[in-house]
Amino acid sequence: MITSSVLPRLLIIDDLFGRIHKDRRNKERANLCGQYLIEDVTDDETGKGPEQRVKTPVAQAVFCRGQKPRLSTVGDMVENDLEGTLQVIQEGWSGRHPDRPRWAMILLDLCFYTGKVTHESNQKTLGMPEGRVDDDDPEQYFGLRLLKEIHHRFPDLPVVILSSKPRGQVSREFTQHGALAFLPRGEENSKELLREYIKRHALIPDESQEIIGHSTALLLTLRAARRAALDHLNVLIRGERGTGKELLARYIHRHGSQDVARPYVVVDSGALNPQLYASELFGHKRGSFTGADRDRKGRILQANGGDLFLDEIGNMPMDVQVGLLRVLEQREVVPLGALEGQPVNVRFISATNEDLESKAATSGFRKDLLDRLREGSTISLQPLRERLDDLDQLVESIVHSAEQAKPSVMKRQIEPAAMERLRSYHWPGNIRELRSCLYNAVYSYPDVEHLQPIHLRFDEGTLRSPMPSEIAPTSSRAGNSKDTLPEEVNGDLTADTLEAIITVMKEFQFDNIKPAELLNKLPLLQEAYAQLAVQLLKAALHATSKPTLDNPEGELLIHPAIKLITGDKSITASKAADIIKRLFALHPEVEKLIEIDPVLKQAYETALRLRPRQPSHRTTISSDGSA
Amino acid sequence: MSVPVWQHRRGHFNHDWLKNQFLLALGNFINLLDDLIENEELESSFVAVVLPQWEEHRHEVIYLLADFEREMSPRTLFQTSPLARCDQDTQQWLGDIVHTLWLVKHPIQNCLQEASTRLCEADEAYECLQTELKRCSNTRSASALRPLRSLFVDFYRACQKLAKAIEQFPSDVRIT
Repeated sequence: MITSSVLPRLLIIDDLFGRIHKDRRNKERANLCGQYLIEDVTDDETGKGPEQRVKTPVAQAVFCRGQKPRLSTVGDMVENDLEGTLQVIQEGWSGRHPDRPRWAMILLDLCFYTGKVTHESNQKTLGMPEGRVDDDDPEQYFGLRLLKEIHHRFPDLPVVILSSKPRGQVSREFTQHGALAFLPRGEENSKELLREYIKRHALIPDESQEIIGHSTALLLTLRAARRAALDHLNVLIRGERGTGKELLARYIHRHGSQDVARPYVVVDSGALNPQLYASELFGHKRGSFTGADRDRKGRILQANGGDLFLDEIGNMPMDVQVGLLRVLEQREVVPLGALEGQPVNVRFISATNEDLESKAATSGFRKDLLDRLREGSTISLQPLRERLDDLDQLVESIVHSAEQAKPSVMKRQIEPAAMERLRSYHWPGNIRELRSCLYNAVYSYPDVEHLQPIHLRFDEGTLRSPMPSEIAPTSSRAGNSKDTLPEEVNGDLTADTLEAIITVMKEFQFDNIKPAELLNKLPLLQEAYAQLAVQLLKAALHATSKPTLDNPEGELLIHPAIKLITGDKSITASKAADIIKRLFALHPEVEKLIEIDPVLKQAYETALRLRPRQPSHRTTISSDGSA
Repeated sequence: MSVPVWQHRRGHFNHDWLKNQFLLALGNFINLLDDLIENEELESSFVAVVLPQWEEHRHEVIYLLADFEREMSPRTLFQTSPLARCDQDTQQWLGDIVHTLWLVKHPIQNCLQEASTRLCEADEAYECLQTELKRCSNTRSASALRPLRSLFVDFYRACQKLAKAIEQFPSDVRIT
């Protein structure tokens, strides 16, 4: 259910419902709110409707008369107020007040009565003027004039006509000036119709808060997604990596039907083995190929009656494309090895960050399949650099989520300079990269209260784990100036460092990262592993050292330390020496520690004494991934 | 061309009162019976104050229907320039022909018949509702009136159909 805090906010411009009275509430407004199930949040105390509470409102509304004065009594002249009304619209649309929701949609009346408030007109309807001849002339409706100006000045702002006048009189005019629909007054199904129009036309953020942001670009995308969800045709989502295509696919699925039991199945085309792709998608019969020891239901059949999300559709092998096209055309799926097809009713939501048209032009993707996959609509997700209006909200949410995930970290504020730095970056990896950057900052500096630019690391869109050497001193270590060497050279492995590594490893997402990108990370991974292993050795050396009279600090013994690390009590002293030598050969950065760290130097020299021969080669991982 | 007076009268009844006030209040009251809203003032005053407004306003429909042919016929064009410059005899015979042709060409009688029927249906639904209300105890709380919900809905629908029927009348004086 939509909660009150995220209810769409409507602006209702209407002479009858927008007027206020001196000493009583506007009953007509209350009746409108009650019939359409709207919560009145207009800031005009004197004009509030009778004490009325809508139990499950579909929207909040601010009422505007569109005329001046708003409060009129007998003898007053009431005139239409075009500029004043546009000012009200501007105020609520600019987003200058972050605590106030922007207009999700305008409901606009057509006929506005002007002129003098006479005793007779006041008796008929309190505060209403007698009206002029032109007011009721469809060609002269003030609502249409206002609509034209709104469309000109705020082209993205959705407007729906709310009128008790016959639709047919003005249908051409209001559609010509950009109104999206006509909501008649006094219809029995009016509340259902309003709910429907809000879903189809209003600009509203994701009520589940899975997709964060309220920029116009994002809200237009969400509206396109809801419209696509309603028509149940196939949808293609385009967007750079990290823009949240899968979240949008889930959003479409959620808005497609009230039936929560409808299946939603995800296929990541980038992650599937090309040889097994067809079997994964279409399923197979037992014995249909080597290793097929039983029947298997494919993902398409699993999604029957619901939605199938095909991520990175551009990676789909050509033979699978042929099979998928057959499914789309014939609405049936034939598992591998089966003689007959099974009927399916699945909506395909596909996503790509590739230019599939170009790919289709060079025979890299089937054009007929592409047409089928976008038969409903194509929805584009803007890159983060084009929706920086959402940055504040995204940063706040991501930092909060990082803090929630690890209660030991301090609650922090993001300094304006840090926000500026985030704002000026071009975010090639989009929201995923922003998330990585902020998680990194939070976990690398767990005791920092104010996030500054120096805490932010940008990596041209690739996710990068914080190496021990990158982790700056925390407050617990601050002031430790026993020498001028950097922390990583001292080789201290604190619990925070370990936690940071563990957290980043847990958070690390491999989806959408190409093998080449992963291989680029291998040197960093090797270094991290070597650093960790050597720090573990140092901890074990301290743990197993034995204080003597000559050496109250404790004598360092490599044999028990290696036994402790490996858990192998039968290990010999020579074998322990070999292990130590191999550890130092893992990475040049670790090798350097021998010259700097007295504990590690002593351990290495002991190992060399026991096993004088140098290691023949350093263990490396080649570019094809083999060790 | 100026907007005919009949058109204003129709607007006042159909738009200003029936749709913008009466049907909205009735719809809101049905939502109150459905427990979708809470409104003590509406709960206590609707049956006693708002509902009987029907009896005051239904006569406007009768007058509207009675006056339509006279006020919206193209014969009225002879009352204003330039046709008003025709001599009396011409105004008479030409006006009669124009009026007859208008009646033949446009479904005026159908509109009048439809609106009359809808008014009768609304009256019947209202009477039915009032009869049941009188049978009920004096309690006018939402819970006491909930068993009559279907009668309120019937009356609402009848009024809605009447509003639609009145909308069907032409909005200007037509010769063609």
